[in-house]
Amino acid sequence: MSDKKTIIFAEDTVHIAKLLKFKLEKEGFNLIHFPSGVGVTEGVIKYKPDLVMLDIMMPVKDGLTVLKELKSNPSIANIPVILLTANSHEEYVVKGLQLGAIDYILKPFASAELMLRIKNILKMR
Amino acid sequence: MSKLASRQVGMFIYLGVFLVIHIDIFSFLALTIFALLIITYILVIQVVLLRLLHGYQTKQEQKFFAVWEERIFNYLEGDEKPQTLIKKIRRGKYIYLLRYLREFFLMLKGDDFAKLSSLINETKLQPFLLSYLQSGSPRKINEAAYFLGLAKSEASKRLLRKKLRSENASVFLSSALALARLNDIDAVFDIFRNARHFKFISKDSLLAILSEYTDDVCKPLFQNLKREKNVLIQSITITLFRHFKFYQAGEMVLKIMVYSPSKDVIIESIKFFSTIELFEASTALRSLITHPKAEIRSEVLKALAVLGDESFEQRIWDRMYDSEYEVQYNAVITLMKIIPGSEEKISRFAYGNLKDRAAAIARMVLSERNIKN
Repeated sequence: MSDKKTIIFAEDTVHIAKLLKFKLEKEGFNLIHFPSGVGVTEGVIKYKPDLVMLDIMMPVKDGLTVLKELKSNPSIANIPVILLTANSHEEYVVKGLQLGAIDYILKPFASAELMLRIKNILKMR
Repeated sequence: MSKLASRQVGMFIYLGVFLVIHIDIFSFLALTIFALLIITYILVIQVVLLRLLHGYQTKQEQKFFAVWEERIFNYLEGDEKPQTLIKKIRRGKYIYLLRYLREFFLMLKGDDFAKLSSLINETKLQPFLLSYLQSGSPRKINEAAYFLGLAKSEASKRLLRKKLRSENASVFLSSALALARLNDIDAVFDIFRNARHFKFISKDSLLAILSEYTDDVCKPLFQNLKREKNVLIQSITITLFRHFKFYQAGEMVLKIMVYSPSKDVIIESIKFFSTIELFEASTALRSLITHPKAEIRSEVLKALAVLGDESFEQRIWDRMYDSEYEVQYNAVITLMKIIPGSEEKISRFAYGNLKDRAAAIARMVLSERNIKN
């Protein structure tokens, strides 16, 4: 099995997801992208990633619903979750943190800062 | 109706009358069905052609993305000069590149954003977009204004200001948005002035544009508010002060609110005082708590819940018997927030008067509170 840390990233903005995949893979991570909240919980159960990043506003199934599912399943509840949300939806952050998210990033974001936060969280585990 | 259109209608009526007089009813019906078939055929061909064109453009775009995606990522990651990247892309493909970058402009900041901006501001993309801005096509102008605004292209300011005088609403809106993103403070009054030419541009769309400015816009708006008589501009200005939490305007807005006959201005002022927690506004709110308009009474109660003036206790209790549900509801909430121990008193009132409407609303608020807790 490879030593690469795996990150699951649910984000409906495809180009941004591709950019982050490019950057994270260059840093030695393995990124699995989901274009919406659908299938994320199953993906987390299957791949047991080291970190999950969830966009809050997504079609069909939003990030907070996914977060609730993750935290209510004891086998995956300890996997850290970072939330991504637009500046204008800051109120959801409090709800996300109450639900068990470990950190949040407001959009627009600097990719360098996001990378640092990911690395710090993974280092602390 | 224009002269040409009325002439065409006349011709059709003449043709119809001519056909009815000179041919029998069956031939007339056959001719009508034939004409309808021809029209349907033309429409179907048009739809098919448009779909083919759209499909071709999407394919071209996807092809471009597949080839250039990684190079763009490498540019954002590395030290490549923007000119070097753009030199490799044909002018005809610039628009695909811009469409690709749209999401990045909206979602990235810091160094990433600086790199994206220099792709437009330091390369041939800028003259390309400026030529779009000078074209006669509203679609091209809107597209150019969008990207030049996002990239904060100083070179486009003069042209964008000219476009504010356009009679086309979409051109006006896209230029105003670009100037706001460029934080062109001098343009703010042109935006107000020219927005009046368009009846359907709402206060909300103007606010959405103006809130793209930084808080630097507050000072000139503050100076203007002293002499501004237009209630729409007064109301938008006060809403922007609230958005930017511009405390310095508190005293002046208080003076304006006291004498204003406009419901909108009064409501925006109360919300502003609540946001900046201007306790001096309490005295003015005293008379507004019984204002004839229910929305104002409601807003006063919401503001009091923040400002927390206990001397209002009896007046707020009185509002629990208001004729409007929303006012009664806010009265209960405000009492519970600002008067210590009021929850017990409200609870006694709520469950001691089972047939009273005010008590029913109080019971509802108490139940909501219990559910939340």
